[in-house]
Amino acid sequence: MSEKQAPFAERSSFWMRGGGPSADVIVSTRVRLARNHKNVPFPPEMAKEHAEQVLSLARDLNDCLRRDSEGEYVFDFWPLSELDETDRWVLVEKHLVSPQLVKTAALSGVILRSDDAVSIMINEEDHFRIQCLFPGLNLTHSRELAQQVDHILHEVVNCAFDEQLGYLTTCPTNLGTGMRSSVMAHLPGLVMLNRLEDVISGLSEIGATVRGLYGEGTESRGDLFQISNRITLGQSESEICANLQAVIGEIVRKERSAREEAYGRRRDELEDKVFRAYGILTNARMIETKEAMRLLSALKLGRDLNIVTHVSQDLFSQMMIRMRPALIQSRAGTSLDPRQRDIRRASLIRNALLDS
Amino acid sequence: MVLCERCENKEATVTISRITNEKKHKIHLCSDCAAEEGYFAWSFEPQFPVHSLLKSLLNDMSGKAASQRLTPGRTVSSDCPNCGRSYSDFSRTGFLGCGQCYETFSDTIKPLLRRIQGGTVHRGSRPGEQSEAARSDIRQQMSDTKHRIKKLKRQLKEAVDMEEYERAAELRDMIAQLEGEDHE
Ligand SMILES: [Zn+2]
Ligand SMILES: [Zn+2]
Repeated sequence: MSEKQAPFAERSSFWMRGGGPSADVIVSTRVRLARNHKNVPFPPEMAKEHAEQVLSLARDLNDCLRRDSEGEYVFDFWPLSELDETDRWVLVEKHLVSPQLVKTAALSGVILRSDDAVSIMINEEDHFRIQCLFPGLNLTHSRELAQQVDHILHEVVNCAFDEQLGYLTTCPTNLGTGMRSSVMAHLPGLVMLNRLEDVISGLSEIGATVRGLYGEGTESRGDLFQISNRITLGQSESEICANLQAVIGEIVRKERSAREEAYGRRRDELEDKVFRAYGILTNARMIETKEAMRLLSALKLGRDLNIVTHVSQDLFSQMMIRMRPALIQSRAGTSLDPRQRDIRRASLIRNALLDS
Repeated sequence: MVLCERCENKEATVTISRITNEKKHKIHLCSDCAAEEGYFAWSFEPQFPVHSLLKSLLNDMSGKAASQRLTPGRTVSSDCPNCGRSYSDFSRTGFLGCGQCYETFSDTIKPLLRRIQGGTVHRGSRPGEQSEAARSDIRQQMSDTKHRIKKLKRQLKEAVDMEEYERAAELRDMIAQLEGEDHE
């Protein structure tokens, strides 16, 4: 555990502030672009000196971004080797880097904008992965910001590009635009009415993919699903986003009507579920992540259906992130065993609810 | 008792294998951390089953490949001359080692692309394209008041789009103030 807390630990990421278009269903939007250096082997064939060469380019890129950013934003470059284990996991918990990046911490890094709306992973599956994160359904804003950062990247990096195949990526599933756009969707209504299967079947034919969480009941994972584009080659960036936007719009519509139907049919059960969640979260003295996630999901649904009104807009996004183990330990400034974390988690959520 | 490698607190009951940079790692986790790992791997990005697709594709092609192996001077499994990536590493992981690998392994990649992609020709942005426009956008020097107002108005529109009404009100005040100064 480091003496000094990394500045990215406590700050609220832009996407965690909640709100944005269709915030009742869409929690956040991410657009990422994969890019590689033309004359450096891709990460699977990269030697140590190659990785260091890319890290050094990342420093140059960070300088360019700093110079170009408009006043209020600052960019910072963090080689993962300079962060301790807790801070690395804080980055994962805030959805800023992948768990895979942490596994190769010796030779990887991340560039972050001060509001975390831009995060560039260095030496993950590809040399550079530009990611832009927004609250709510914001495919256009996210894509435009990612493309602006991409233009600056090209001043520093001679990217691997082929006239026919587009941007050359480590995995052929990212070839062409190198763009993966995704949203995190909260779909408790479709889950309750067992309609998720119907809604998502056939999506892959139109180039989209929906993913829920593995194994166990989706409820304990907060009824969250990820919807993303499958195709990266053969369509332009804006076409891909427009297609995805149409798919998501349809899912949002179906989720809203499922909620209304469920509320109409089983009003008492639904209100009971929401108020129980509120009761437990405002009173529990110890709580595990899974239970907290299930209850936060119920509370979010209750807020979006106006069953409870005194819950702040960002509670769900803030708590689902801040209650994770590394962030709790980072805030405590010491490592904690699971029992101690459960105590702190309960108090964190309790206080957030009492404040809102 | 083997301790969980992540929390170093509970007993490790789950072993997860993962391949990173061609090295197979085994990590030992407690059930809680394994669940968290699953959550993070998910919350991050979808993984497409390219390995399994490749496998079925290679099975389809194995008849053809067998006949090719009989042709002198032509081997399906030659390594990439640029980065040294072997065909077996590619087919096992779905990952390529450099840009030239796309040529080296094109016999496999072309049918793969037809199956996993929306086409075989890139129609998106290109390096250097529009870069002047984007640069002037992101680099606009906002020294004079008119430029500053323009920038604030853009931010205002963003704030309204994002339903950040408090920020929008702040921006509106700032714009009104600057517009006042501009007329003086
Ligand atoms: Zn553990
Ligand atoms: Zn190669």
